[in-house]
Amino acid sequence: MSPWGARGRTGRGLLALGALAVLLGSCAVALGVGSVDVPVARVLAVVARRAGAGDLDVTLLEDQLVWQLRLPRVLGAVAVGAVLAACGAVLQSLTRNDLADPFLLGVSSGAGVGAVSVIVLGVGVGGLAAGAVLPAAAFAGALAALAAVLLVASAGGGALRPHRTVLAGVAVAHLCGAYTSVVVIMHGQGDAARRVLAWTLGSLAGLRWGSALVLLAAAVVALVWFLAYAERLDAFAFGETSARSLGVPVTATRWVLMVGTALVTATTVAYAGAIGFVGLVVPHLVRPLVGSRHRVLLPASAVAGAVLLVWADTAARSLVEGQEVPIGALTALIGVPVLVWLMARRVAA
Amino acid sequence: MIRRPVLRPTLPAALLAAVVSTSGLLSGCTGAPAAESAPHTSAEPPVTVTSCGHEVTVAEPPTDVVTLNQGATEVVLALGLADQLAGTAYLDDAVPGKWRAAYDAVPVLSAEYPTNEQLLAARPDFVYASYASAFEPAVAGTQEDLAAAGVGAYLSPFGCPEAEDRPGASFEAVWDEVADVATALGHPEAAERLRDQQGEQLADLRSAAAGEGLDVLWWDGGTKSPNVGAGDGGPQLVLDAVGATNVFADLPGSWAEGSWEDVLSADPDVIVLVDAAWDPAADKRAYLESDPVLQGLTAVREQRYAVVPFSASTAGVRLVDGAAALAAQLDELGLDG
Amino acid sequence: MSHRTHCVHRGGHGDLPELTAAGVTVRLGDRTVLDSVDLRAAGGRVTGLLGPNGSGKTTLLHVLAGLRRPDAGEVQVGGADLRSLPDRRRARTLALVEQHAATTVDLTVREVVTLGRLPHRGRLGGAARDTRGAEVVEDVLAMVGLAPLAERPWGTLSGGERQRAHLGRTLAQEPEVLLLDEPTNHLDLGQQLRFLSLVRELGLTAVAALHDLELAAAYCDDVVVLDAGRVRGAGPVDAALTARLLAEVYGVEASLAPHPRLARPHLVWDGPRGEGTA
Repeated sequence: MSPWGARGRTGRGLLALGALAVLLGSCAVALGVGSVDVPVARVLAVVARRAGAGDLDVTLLEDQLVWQLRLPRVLGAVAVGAVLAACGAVLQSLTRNDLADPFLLGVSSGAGVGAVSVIVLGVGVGGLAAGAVLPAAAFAGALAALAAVLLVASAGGGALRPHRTVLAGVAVAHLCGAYTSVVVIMHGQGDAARRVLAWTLGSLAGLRWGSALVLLAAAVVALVWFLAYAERLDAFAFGETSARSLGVPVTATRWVLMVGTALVTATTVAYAGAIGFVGLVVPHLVRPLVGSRHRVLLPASAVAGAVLLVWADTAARSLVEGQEVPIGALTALIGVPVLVWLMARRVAA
Repeated sequence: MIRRPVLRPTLPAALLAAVVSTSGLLSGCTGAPAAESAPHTSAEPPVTVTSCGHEVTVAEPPTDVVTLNQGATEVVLALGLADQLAGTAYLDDAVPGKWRAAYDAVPVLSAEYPTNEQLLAARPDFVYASYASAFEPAVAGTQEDLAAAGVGAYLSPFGCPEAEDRPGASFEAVWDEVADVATALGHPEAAERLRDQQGEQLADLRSAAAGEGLDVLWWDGGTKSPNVGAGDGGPQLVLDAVGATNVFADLPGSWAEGSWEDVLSADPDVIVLVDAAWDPAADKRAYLESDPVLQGLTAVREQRYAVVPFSASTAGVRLVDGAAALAAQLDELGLDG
Repeated sequence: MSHRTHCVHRGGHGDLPELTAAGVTVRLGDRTVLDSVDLRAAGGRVTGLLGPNGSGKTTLLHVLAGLRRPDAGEVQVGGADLRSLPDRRRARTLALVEQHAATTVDLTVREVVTLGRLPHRGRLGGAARDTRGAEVVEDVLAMVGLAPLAERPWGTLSGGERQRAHLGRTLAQEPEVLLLDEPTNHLDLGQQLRFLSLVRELGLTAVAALHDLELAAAYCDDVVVLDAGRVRGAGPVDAALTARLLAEVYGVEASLAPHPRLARPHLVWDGPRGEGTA
């Protein structure tokens, strides 16, 4: 019998179908939640009308609420959750570090520098600041931080060794953090501090179709890209020497995947801020269910991350009436106990 | 006026937290509400007024008053007592034209908070501030410290660190603060004058009711979700004064996080764009008109905006001006509710 | 099964390549780890790489495996310069069983062995191009005696089982040359003997770094003795491991003697080298 026997294949097929059903169901529920009540039937009617099923008496308001406000936000949550979780899985295996997360290479702190420059110093054009300039500045900041980290980590060799890369990431993150604090304290006016804090904690609020489509595209590109490397990632399980003896070009693979994860993470940070813990925790949650082979682990993590973020975002906008709970706080609320449990399990083992 | 001091971003969050926590020490004597100490007519020194649970006793009418924060400065200017000022500090935007000359005659100690030394160098005998952050050790020092040094220290009741000391936003509460300050400065009659004048102006606005029948969104800022004027603060007072309906009147507090969904659902007749130095009304308007969803709002399509300066939307002496400005703009829009 | 001959070369010494190193020098900073090392591992024979701890055995194995570029010298496999082989081709020719290959990733035994198929797959990891992969993995699992444990997670395996799984992974690479770095460390005696017997039975060109002279005497055809980065002796076991070499390199009074029951030498030691005997 082949290693992936018929039973295993059917089982995984069912698991995949189940996961997609949960994801679709979560999205449907999320579309019905908001500060204005839209009954499920009307939500479906809006979607059906947009899918070309006739007029169905959909009002302009219903269409605005469901199709123009909620759907881009839900799709954004799917994309961001999928990207962060998949990046976490890739980086944890690439660095052989259980605590690796998508912000390892300083992209969130770098994006923070860009965002603060716009929010506090007003770099950029007034009026557009919130629309296009902020994501662009955050993305540019993330790229600059990434470049700095790679420069420091690869100085004298270019092998991008994991512990050195992690150190470089920490160093650059602290530098960016220092800049951010100084700018906010020295130049912050009005509610700048609150806006910076809110941005730092991440939020999917305010996503419109344009941004959602960019995020979805990033998620698709990332998944296809990472899946092409799934087998080589498996080879990192026993370390660098083992991977190289299996014929994996270790240095090239590290560069491609580290830069790749950083780019897509930077895209999510640009639109949604740094939403923590998804990338760290989801792969750990998924591995016991589907195993450690990346061909399965990566898509499974992506779906689980998407579901987690759709629910976290739904909770974020409905837990407290008239208030958005920062989504980063909610993912931390879920993530910290999981992390503690993981540590306890590790100690016990 | 709860939001601004807490959010005052120029101070590290840790310091703010420290102030909030140490303020527990100050709450031993909650004292009578500020209102009760207000209606003095006799200005026989020494006079005592209550500020956030502190008794502030003034032996002689102070002649070297330092005001911190724009609201405090404007109260003294509105009272016409600028010649008792030794210095001012920390404007959020600009002092209105009618007080400009008086303001310019007084030294500005610093653009934001002065350092402790800058403040001492002005040799104040009375310090009056809008926000609790002004009485941090790095700035003016605590109210007790100042009192011990023989310097009167008055904090606006709206800026009290303890929630129980803060009055609800009302024109009465504004006038009570004005009366306290006037009394401490030895000119209670100036407060009476201001109160009569503003009361009259307000009565006129109310009877004209320029906003009668109009649903208004008071948008303070924030794009991901709107920060809006809620049911219990300066914005609500202004909207009430012109007879308009606040679409977020149900939300508690002075300002609150609203949702664009509710805005779409309410589809307001007019949108008030708050103008602040750090977030100009023009930016807000540009955002509304560029957002694919919000540009569908009736008020955006028909360009029904009114601009109110932020400093005229907080509980202070300019609130009446804010209401007058809104009324004038609503008249200009020529809407029939 | 017909494919078994592709999978593992049993016995047939003639068609297996020899592995040679000439003048291999490796420096770490100003320390010379390997100093002009020459080595010849004959096709289909087991060559023991001996020497005390720190003599450079692991470094030499990494050079032989093509994982480390020497500062001078070259390695040839079957007459071809190792550096001219592309990564994946190299991995189909030589395989390395590492000394400390631990993981926190909870792969199953089968998944670990399947890793060895990586160089046989398409560049983008397409399993379709490796049509024999599944069968090779099954064969290897049976060969290393792990078929019944195929679905066991890594964390539940004993040291001996893990080492056999590692061997299985390298065998799944279908290499012609097998490099083993102290493969019997942390195994009990029975496991050590079974493991080395298995390696011998494979009949591949093998180079095994060993620090246990008795095991070397029993399981190697040839030996190369390293000391402080230099070759101190090389050749068939009984010719190379002289009493003098053992005294000089290991500081022991010992020599090879015929095994009382078997037709092979075994190590007889008297004790540490006495003072003044050198």
